[in-house]
Amino acid sequence: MRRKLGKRLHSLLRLSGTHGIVRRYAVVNGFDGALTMLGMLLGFYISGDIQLPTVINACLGVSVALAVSGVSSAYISEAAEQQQALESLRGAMVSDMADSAHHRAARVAPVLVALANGASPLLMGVLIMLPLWLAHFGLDLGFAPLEVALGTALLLIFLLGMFLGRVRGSSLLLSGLLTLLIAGITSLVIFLLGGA
Amino acid sequence: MARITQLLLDILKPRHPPLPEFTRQLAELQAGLRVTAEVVEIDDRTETLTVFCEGEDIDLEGITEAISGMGGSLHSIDKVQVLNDNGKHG
Repeated sequence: MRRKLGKRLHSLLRLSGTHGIVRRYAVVNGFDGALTMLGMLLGFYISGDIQLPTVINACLGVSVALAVSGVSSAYISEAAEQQQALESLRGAMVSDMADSAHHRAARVAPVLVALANGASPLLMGVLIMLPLWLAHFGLDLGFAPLEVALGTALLLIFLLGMFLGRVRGSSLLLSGLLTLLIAGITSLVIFLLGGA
Repeated sequence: MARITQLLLDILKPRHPPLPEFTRQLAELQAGLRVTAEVVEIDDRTETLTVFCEGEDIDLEGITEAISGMGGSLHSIDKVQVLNDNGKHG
């Protein structure tokens, strides 16, 4: 039943031409989430001796705030966009299009976009915080937990870049390296400002 | 019983779904249904098509519903072929 619902939603978004929007929001805000976490972790890293629970709580707070902000902002903007696009299409078609996939998508797409936009930074945050939680509960990671979390953030940023490369149809490696370069520049700025 | 075996339709549809997807969705309505779509006019948001359907027993209502479902509207039915095979088989 879940697969059937997923198939119907996918078909609805495909027919109305809105399927790319959900993916775009998820990737863009996922990247925001991963980069924000990288910034947070680097801030703690250069600050020196910070307690692990402090790092976890701060990162969790930021992830939840990004998720809530993602859901609300995407829903408000996308509902308005979809409604405007539908009205414009109705005018061109000289029809209310009440039975159409476009009409249903104008109501469903903002919800899906909002969920994707909120869930992606939260997921990134949870994955990046995982080493911190594991270390907090006594698991030996072999390296300092903050360093493992930083490595996880960089890996996720690289993977997001690869995914974007796949969407664009360009080189996965180059696309991954490009997003890593952005992360590198961000890190450099944080180090320079934090060290000042 | 008389069956519709050919239809020529004049349809206005949004640019989405694109023509191959639109045509495929129509053809998937019935096994053995052959659908040929041709763009007659195109603008920023809409396309006018002529759609030729060929099948054993075409479900006109189903086709109309599918067109509406994809945001299109049936402007006119320009040609119909109906076959009455009563007596032929029995």
